[in-house]
Amino acid sequence: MEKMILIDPDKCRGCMRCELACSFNKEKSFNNAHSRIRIFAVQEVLAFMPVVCQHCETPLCTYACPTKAIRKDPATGIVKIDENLCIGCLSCFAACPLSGIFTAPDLKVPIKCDLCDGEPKCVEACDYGALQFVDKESANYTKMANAAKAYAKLMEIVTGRKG
Amino acid sequence: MSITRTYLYIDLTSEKVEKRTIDEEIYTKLLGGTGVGFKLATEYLKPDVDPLSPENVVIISVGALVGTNAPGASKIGAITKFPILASEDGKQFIGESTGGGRSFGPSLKRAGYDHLVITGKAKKPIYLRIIDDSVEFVDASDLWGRGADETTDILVKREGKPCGVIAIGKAGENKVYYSMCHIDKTNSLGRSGLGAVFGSKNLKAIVVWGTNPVKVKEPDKFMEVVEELRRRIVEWEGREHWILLGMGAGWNTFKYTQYPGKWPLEKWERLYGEERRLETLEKTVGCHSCLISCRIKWRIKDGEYAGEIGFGSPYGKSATSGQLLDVEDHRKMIHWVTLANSYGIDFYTTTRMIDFVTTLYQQGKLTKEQTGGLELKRDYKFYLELFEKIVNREGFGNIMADGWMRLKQKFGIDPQDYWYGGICKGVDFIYDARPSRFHPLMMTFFTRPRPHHGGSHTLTNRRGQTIEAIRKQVERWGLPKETVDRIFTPSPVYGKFHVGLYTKYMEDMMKAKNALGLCSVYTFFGLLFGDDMARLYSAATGIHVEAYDLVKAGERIFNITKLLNIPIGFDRKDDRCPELWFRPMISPEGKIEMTDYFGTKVITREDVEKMLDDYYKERGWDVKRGLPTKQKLSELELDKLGIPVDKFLKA
Repeated sequence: MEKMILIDPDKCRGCMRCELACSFNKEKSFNNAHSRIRIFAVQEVLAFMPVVCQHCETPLCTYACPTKAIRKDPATGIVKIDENLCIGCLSCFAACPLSGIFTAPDLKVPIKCDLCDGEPKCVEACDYGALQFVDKESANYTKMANAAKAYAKLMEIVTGRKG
Repeated sequence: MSITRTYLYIDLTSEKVEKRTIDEEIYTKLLGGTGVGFKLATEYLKPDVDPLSPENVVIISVGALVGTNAPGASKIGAITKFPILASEDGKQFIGESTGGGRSFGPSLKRAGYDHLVITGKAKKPIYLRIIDDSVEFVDASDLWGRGADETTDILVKREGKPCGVIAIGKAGENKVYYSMCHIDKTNSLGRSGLGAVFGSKNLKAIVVWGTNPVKVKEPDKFMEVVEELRRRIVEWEGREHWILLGMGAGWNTFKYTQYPGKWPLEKWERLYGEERRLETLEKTVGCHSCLISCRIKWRIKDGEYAGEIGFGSPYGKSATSGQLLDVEDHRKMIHWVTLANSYGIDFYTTTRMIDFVTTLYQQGKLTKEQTGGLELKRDYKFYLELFEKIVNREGFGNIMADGWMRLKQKFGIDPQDYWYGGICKGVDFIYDARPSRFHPLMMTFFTRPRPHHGGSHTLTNRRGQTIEAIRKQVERWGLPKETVDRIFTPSPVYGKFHVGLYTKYMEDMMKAKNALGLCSVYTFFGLLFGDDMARLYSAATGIHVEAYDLVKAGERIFNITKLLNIPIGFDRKDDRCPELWFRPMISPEGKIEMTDYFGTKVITREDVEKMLDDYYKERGWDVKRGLPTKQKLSELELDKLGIPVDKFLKA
């Protein structure tokens, strides 16, 4: 069963440990600017949104790439950039509907999540439960449970009543 | 290496910026962060400087481990001469404010710097923009007058990336002596008036971002230690509750240890207890690389201030001040914290001074003549009016804006007569040693040059620890067995352990912890020990240390801090335990006297003086004067680090 990184923004505390784990795994150093997952913060309210490639079924990035450097592996479903073929034109960056591809000027090529070949380090590093690596079918139920909780919270704010 | 050994020297007057480096030897002896920051202070900060003059210097230091994924490594410190008046004759101390943050520390490290040394005064309001190699002085006239929180939002959005921001609000601009700086909106460099120092320099904010990697010397070893700590922290049984409530957790201990003694406990619980906290709590937010997020995002859901949100840690301070000021609606106090954070002013000092003067006025001890015609009332609406006057330095508020000692200078009102917390070196302590009991954090309040705990959190700051657990934490600072035995030899003076001796080593260990940039919540809960810190530091920097080396380095840092304060005239007279603590608290819950940690005996003035004697002796200092001796300082080899020890001692 194909797996995915399931994001629950409500649980994210903005600690950036996912970014640090990712950058360390890829570059052997800590640099948020090298992370393949990024925490976007809505500054006024400090609401956090982890942003990472979802390895689309029809990845627009692969269509946008003029050198076919970026491809989805049919066996694993992982969308990867071949650095040897990449010319750094950033077409993939422009094409991604989720902003899951990032520029890293000093690395010369765009960077993106490759699911650490099946053991994503960001998920391992998240101890708040905001990131989970689950098969796509059970993701439905986790997402529904999160949505139900979010709905209850919203109703609480709107009506001022608990439960 | 997770240290850069590089700092920026920034002169706001001439707009000169220079990149300078520091010898590795200095790091070997002082670790980094505020440790090395204090060494820079001996070079740049003149003890006789007027804190609000252009010549005062602010040194912002990033901890040695900040930028890595060591749990809770986000701490920065700001060293300066603080404006708060420490004595009737107007002495002002040098020390450090410390705080975590979501981005500032790591961003500065990634920009390539361990420290900023800031001096001079900008011609007009500016903010410093440090983006990797570029440093700019940017016009801040559109930000002047805006809240610290709003300023942060504007700057982050202007840069379009998650930059780190230190900002001041109106209180700093107006040079209120207890104004503060906010870090990334969620944290603060608080107490004693750093905000005013920024304000006096026309420095509204610093925004920083960097894209250089933070490397560690021995990556595998480093990650092994981090993983071990991570497992320990994640498995900690208190974590779930702590993540839910952050700094608002622990009401069941808090209600005893920080009880102001005015309302019955039952009433306090009903109006400010955990249930009330949960009513406004939206979620907790973590500092960079933190596993136990403690910062709080709150939202007032109903009533007059419905919809208002804020960031920080509002619950402890709103509960104690709410009781002191007889404000029964917790939402009103939360609203006030939100305002105080926006103005960038110390909530403890502000609310307690307001409690003091309004009560004295009612008692006829402060007259309408003295307040300049202002009638001081005991109601919430008036509190906020007076608060605005302080922030804007208007009328009577202008006098209050100078802090407790000005009341004494101006009206002969003795701050020592205030009934909660206690005053030392012109600063009110956030805890009161009678409900809290006399544990090491209480002692460090008056032994530290800057009278605030400064992150000196250990297990002893919580009730209900066993003597074995307390001892184990000290053992893991790597002290010789003989020393540990002496600390834990019971005596009729102090009870089961010697608070004086404990405090000495705690201060040293905590100076080291701050230099590393690690958070004190972890040491408060006994989740991070001295030997863990040593392993992290060794693997990160390649400078191999044991726990005891950290204590030794901390001792050097503590002595340098004290040394800087000698020319100003500080000595044992100033390290005075507040009188208040020896007067029993008469409360609806009965008489509360200051006892030892285990509540087995009342601690008297003689007991404290005896512990203080032993404390100085353990430091190897002159017991009578409470100051480092030349012999001790050469033993610590401070002169070898290029510190002109004699110059400070002679002054």
